[in-house]
Amino acid sequence: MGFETDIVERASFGVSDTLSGVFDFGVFQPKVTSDFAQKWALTDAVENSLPVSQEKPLLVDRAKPKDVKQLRPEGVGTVLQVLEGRVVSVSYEEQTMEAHLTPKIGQVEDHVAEIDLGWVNQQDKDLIQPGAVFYITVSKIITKAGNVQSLNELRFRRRPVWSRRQVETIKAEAESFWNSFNSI
Amino acid sequence: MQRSAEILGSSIVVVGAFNPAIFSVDWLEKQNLLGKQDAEGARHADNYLVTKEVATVETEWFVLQVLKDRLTINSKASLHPGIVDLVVGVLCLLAHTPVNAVGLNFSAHYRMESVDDYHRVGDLAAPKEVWHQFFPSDSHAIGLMNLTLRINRGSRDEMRTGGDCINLTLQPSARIHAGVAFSYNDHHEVGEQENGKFSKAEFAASIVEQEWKPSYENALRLFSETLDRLLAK
Repeated sequence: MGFETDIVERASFGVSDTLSGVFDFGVFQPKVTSDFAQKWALTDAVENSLPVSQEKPLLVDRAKPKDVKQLRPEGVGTVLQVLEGRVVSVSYEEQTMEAHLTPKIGQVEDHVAEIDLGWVNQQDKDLIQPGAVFYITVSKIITKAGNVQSLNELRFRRRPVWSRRQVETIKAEAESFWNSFNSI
Repeated sequence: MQRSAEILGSSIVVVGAFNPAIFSVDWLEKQNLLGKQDAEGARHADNYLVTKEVATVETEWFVLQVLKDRLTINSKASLHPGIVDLVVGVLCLLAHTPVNAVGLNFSAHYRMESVDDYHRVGDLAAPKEVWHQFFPSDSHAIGLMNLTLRINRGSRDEMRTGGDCINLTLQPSARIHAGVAFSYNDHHEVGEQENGKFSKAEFAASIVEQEWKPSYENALRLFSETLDRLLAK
């Protein structure tokens, strides 16, 4: 499909005679030459009509896709599991923490695990305390050379401020507890 | 059994009015949104940029980009719930930011067992019979490039252009040979808060906090079950 940039016509928008001189816009219309009809000769849909609905998909012979080199972006991995953990207790003598883990992918039950503090990044060490939340991402990484590696990453949650909604929820729960105690 | 995606990604987009100039690594670290190691890495990243118009901060696990009209955070290489914490933290700290919409986005690429399965998904999701009436199959090949569905609550007669909705896209994977890619956009409008109790930014933070987990569970289940049904013998 080709375009020519010559001015094909000049259009004036209908206005009153007194204003025609002021609002006489020139419109540049590209002249379009199309070879669509030659390239894509359409068959008559009525002559060659096929049933629209079929029980099975129409079988079509396709050319086999070319053998392309598999693209393996470096470091791209398959996420096997994401777990949200909550620290139950910390033992600095043994350098471990006990945590309640909730898997987020698939129908896997919660469980409790003991995790070596050596798996915690230096930047997160000061976040370790009972009740703190962290995430573990377990991935399978395929390197450029095609080697399969396993990657476990542990990262603590950073929520520096309470949201107003969290505060309101806590207030409502506290009030509910207070009312329960008062009624005894 | 849920199918396992070969590539899984997640992003959160917040549409509103932002000041990109404040989103420096120093600010993120000072607000305890970034740890020291992540901050150090981000400062030395090639694409670290903070101007009045745009801010880009990249760490090992996310890329944050802030424009004047939106904030986007993408998890890198894997699904990471930490991006929820970062967005909620930013919106709570900047509670008076005018926010209009939030998008919770998930994408997944699945490798098909065979090229025939790959074509079967496209043929069943977008049947070609109608189009082969114009482009006969003996001389033309027709393939699905992109299929997007918008899912609104309510009947078709009630369908409206705005409001909360889910946009689901199916297309050939550009990253896996004979692979299928899905993307799921869970779009939430953030209207004016009637009782004035929370600002729009705080309400948006609560949407992200409460809806992200159910949204990604729905997305993964939808992707897996869609393939199961399309490939059922």
